[in-house]
Amino acid sequence: MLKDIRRQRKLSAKRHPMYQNNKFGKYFMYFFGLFWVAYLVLFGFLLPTIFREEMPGMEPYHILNKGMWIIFILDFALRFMAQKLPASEVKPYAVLPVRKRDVIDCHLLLNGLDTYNLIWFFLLLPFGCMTLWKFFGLAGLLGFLLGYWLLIVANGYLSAICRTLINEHIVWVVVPVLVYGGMIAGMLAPWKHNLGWIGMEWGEGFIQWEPLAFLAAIAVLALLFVLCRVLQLKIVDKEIARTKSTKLKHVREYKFLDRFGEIGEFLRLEIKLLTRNKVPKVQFRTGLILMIMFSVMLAFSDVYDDNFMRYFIAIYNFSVLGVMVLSQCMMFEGNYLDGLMSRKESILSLLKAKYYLQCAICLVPLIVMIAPVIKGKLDVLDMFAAFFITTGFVFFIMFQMAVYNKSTMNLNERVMGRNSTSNWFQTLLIMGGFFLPVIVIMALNAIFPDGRVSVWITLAIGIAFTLAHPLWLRNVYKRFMKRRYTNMAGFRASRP
Amino acid sequence: MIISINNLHKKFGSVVAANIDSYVIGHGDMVGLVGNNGAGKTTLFRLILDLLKADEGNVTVSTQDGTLTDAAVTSTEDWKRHTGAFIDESFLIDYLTPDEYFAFLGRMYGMKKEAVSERLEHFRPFFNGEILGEKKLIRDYSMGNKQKIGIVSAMLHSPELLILDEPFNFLDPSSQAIIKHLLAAYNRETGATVLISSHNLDHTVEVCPRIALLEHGVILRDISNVNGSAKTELDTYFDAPVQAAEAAEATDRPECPEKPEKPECPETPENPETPENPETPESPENPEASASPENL
Repeated sequence: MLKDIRRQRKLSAKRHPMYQNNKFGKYFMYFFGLFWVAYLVLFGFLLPTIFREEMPGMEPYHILNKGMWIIFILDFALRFMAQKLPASEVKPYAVLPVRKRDVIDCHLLLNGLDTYNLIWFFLLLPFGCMTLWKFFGLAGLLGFLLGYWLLIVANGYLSAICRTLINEHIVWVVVPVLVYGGMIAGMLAPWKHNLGWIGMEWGEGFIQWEPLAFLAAIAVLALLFVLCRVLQLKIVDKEIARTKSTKLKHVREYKFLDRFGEIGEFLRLEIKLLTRNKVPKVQFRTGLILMIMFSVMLAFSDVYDDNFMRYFIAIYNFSVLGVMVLSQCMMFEGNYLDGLMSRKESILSLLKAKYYLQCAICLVPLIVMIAPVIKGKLDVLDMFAAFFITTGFVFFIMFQMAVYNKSTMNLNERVMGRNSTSNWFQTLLIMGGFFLPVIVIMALNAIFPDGRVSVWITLAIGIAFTLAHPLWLRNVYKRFMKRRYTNMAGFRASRP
Repeated sequence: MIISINNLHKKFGSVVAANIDSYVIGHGDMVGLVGNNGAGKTTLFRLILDLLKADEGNVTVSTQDGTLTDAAVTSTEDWKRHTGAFIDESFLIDYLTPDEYFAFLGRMYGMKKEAVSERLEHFRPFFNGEILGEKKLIRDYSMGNKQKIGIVSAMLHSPELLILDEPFNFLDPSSQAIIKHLLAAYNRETGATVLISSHNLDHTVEVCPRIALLEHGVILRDISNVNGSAKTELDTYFDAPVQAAEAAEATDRPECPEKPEKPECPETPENPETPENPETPESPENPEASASPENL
């Protein structure tokens, strides 16, 4: 069964419609993977020297072992994006003559044996060769690697537990916050035998092949495996026997939108899309948090005080949410595009509604950025220039995605990592949306020594594009209609 | 609405999904499209609705009020106001409640709130108290109820052309009876052109006065169905492979030894009804089979 499940897991990723229809996404992920590996190897070679220089009184491997908890935190963050949960894979086996717990065990075992768990070896192996070999030889190096592998596998199970709980309810985010926040707090604790010290001793134990160190690692691993198994079983049972109440407590009508006619209706649809579906909801929330975070950083820190960064952050601030949402323009609608297309010009109204909603959202940073304006880091003109360049130029660029996107994005299942939906054009436009306005401003700054002139020109360009939105949105609509057959075929083929 | 299909061809790779030289559906016609899986029923609907690009040929429409005359569906969107369709779940915005979805569609077609409510009242028996006012998202409904929502969404604005793909699927027997009645009455009372596809011959024959038999993208027969007269013809066509298989099985069976105590072997039919038999339907490969109303 283990062999069968392993094969099916591989096929499931390989044959996912988004993966099959997106060669760029596939190569982008390979490239990203290679980039990450190269980074790890580089740090594997650099860290011993850095540690020796910074803390000459300690051996580099002692320092690394002290900070092993940081590796677990990074590992958790990476897994959070890409790892699949066993509970979501068990349903197809529910009516087959195999025990659910066996299927879960197989999945958990495969998660443990996944080659992904070896990725940190790209850092640990060169690091170990440079720092351990001369003292402990091959045995020491092997003990060091084996010990870390056990803990990384255990971290994988911990990550699966956290993700499963968070999937159940967002309030469970408190678990990883407490666990991983606890690791940082434990490391920084002022007393001698803090978590850093424990890490150092534990790592030393692995290197010296001390049975107690391995027993402790195996105990942690076994405990987390059992916890994860129990949790996954409960979730599977709950999923299969689900008789959830699917009724909404309150149905919001947004009656104020009635006055805007058909566009108001599509605005209502956009708001419901963002509030009732898991993937757009998370994306929107993340964008909003980033937006507010950058505004606050711009207002209260000196990090972004040079000219380029100030402009970049000001524009990024306004456009981050729009770029995130609009780079996937029409991909969520791919789920019900046939219905929309069978009604006259509904796509044009939809595009207009999307535009107005994004413009309205830009009022949030406009308010938050009053703080840097008051602090004198940005003047009112800069702020409005950034606002209009976003609602005009950046959105103009991002709306082009409506013409070229042709993969449906699942509204409630997050498909990341191996099943990325990015394509080269999307990436290019995102880069263009973020950097082009800043490059234009910098070029204008170079041409006109008086900085005000470039800001006025930027403002004029922004206002012109903003006022011209009915024209370019209609143009986008016409081009979308020209490509409709290709796009609809793509949306149909990638629909879950 | 008059629909004219002219030299319409569509292939997916080497598979022919539509190959229709000429076919006209007149004002107020109610046509049932029948055929086996892969016959091209849904493809034909998608081509009529301009959701798919034809390799060759076109579909033109003419409205009753004369605003559109022989207009190619690919060249204008004006026919969409006169059309209602439900092909599959991709027509439903499933994160809305049914009430929200109907209100949304109503506004798309310029209907007032009261008009939408009044129209929905008409479908209340069909909804069986499970759909309206439930505060439940469409995605959380059963397949049967989603089907009901889809059918009503297509009929909401009283379109001049109604297209429903497999409307009887997922419905319980009572709902099937109601929808048959609703469709027939809608066609009779409004004079709308109605196109439905179904695997269920009984339902189709019961409701549609005209039936198109489709196989491999070709309309093999255009059958006038007066008082269910098409049933025998369709049964004969769809039973042919079964009868052929039975005949082949009987031929292959070894002869019985002559033992008086044993019962006699069943006689192998001398002239089994196979597709080769002139009495049985034409094979899909036969280009002559393509039918138009003039051939009737």
